Amino acid sequence: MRTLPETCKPYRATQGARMTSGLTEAEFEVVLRRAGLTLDSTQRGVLLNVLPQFDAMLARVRNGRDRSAEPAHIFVPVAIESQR
Amino acid sequence: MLPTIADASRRIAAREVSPVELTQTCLDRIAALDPTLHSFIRVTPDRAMADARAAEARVMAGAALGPLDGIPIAHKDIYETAGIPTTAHSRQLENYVPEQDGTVVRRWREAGTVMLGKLATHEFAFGGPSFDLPWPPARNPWDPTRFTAGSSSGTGAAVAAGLILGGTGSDTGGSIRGPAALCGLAGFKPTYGLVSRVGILPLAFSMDHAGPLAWTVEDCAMLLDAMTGHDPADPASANRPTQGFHSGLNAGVRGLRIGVVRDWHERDHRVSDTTIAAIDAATEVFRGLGAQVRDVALPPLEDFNACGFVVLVTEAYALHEHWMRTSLSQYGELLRDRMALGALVSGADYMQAVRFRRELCSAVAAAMADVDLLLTASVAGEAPPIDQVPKWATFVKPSLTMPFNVTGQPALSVCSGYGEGGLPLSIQLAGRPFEDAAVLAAGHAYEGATPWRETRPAIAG
Repeated sequence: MRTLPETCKPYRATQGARMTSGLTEAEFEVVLRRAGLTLDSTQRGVLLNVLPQFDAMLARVRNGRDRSAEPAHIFVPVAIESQR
Repeated sequence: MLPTIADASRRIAAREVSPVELTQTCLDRIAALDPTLHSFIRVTPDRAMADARAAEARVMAGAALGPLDGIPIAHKDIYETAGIPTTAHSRQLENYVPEQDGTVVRRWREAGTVMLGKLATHEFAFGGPSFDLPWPPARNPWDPTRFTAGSSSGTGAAVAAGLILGGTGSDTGGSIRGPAALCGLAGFKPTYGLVSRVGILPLAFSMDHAGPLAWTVEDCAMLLDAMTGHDPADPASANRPTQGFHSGLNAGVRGLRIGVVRDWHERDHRVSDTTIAAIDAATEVFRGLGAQVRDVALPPLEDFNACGFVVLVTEAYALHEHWMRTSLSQYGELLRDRMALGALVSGADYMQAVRFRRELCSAVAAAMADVDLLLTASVAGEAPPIDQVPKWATFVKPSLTMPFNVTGQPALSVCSGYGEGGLPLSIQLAGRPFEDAAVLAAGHAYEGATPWRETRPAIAG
């Protein structure tokens, strides 16, 4: 029988419980494991508490933009130069 | 009270002040005051006296290296110094001794500065004020129960207390301008690419800036003159002719157009009433100096804060990933918890933030077609108690300094008076990329037209 790799195992205690951040606790655990972070319950709690605010930040940067919008490299010298 | 760099430089050149005596005065002040302020992680008296004796010999022989020869300075402890531990204020690097000076450290050494030691920072310029690290956090000389801001906290405290005449800082989200603001100094974040980051322990590749803190803008300009210049070893280093920042200081502001970003400090992050009053007073000072001042609209501060924080925490996590996985307990709590957020950012989120960054840069560039400088607050007001600084301040109110880390523009924090608690207030000026000289000239003109540089912290004597 195939067994799931450790990183894919669901967090059984609260599996499916959706948190205010939009991540389930199971998803949160997967993300932590994928990042290789080993946090104790206190440290997890700290992150879980602040996830809604952090997700709000992420939502702000995800705002829809045109397909042609390319990434920045710090500032736009051409745009600045063209205004002189 | 210590002289400014400009004063000391003139008096050293005239052989009225001895670099050796000036350095000994600094060392005596450090011995007397730093047990309270904790601005230094490590004092290097033997190195300092050797530097000072060499400077004095050059001056007496008529062979001074320039205006910084014999000037006592110190470096934030993320600047690598050959043979001297560079800890980043972290247990992770408690025993790290670099073999080479970083570029800025080398350039200041070659300019004849006298190096007094290594200064406190927030852990890896990100986690602080922390009380669970091998060294305590720096305290504000205006009131040692108060926060210095960070992360160039030791530099801010040491300059304000008159332990050194100037020092290095780094600024990824406001770490030069914040301590300058709360400690009543001038702190300058140059344009991204103007100052080499080689030999400075990084926090976030695309957001890190190196720059000076000092008592006056003039002193910052003198220090900056000895920091800049193309460095092929830094992939972001701009290959441009070196400007004379000190020689250009008297350009003034006559005819310049200054845009007040009122929405930022009155709506998005409403600062204290006294800070708003100080900004309004500053606009009158600039009008009196011949500038045109009007309000400008820019994207909301929350946009810059979100974009900057997501980029910062992701790049920082990428840098620290190995240690976060293998030696998490070696970090202090603040750094560990803040840094862990970077593990939660997907590749797509990071790319969206970088695309958003370009939009924000374009919006600011468009607004600056009609104004030469921007004016807003640096921080919310007077320094808060050091034990009441929230771990997640970035989620409480958006940073007023982050926008110019996102855009890479030059930005300066200047003292703009004193609040009801007697602690410093500040304004922030920003210019177009690579128009650093205009920002410094405006700050210098402002300082010259106001009395704020005449008041030092009581502890400074």
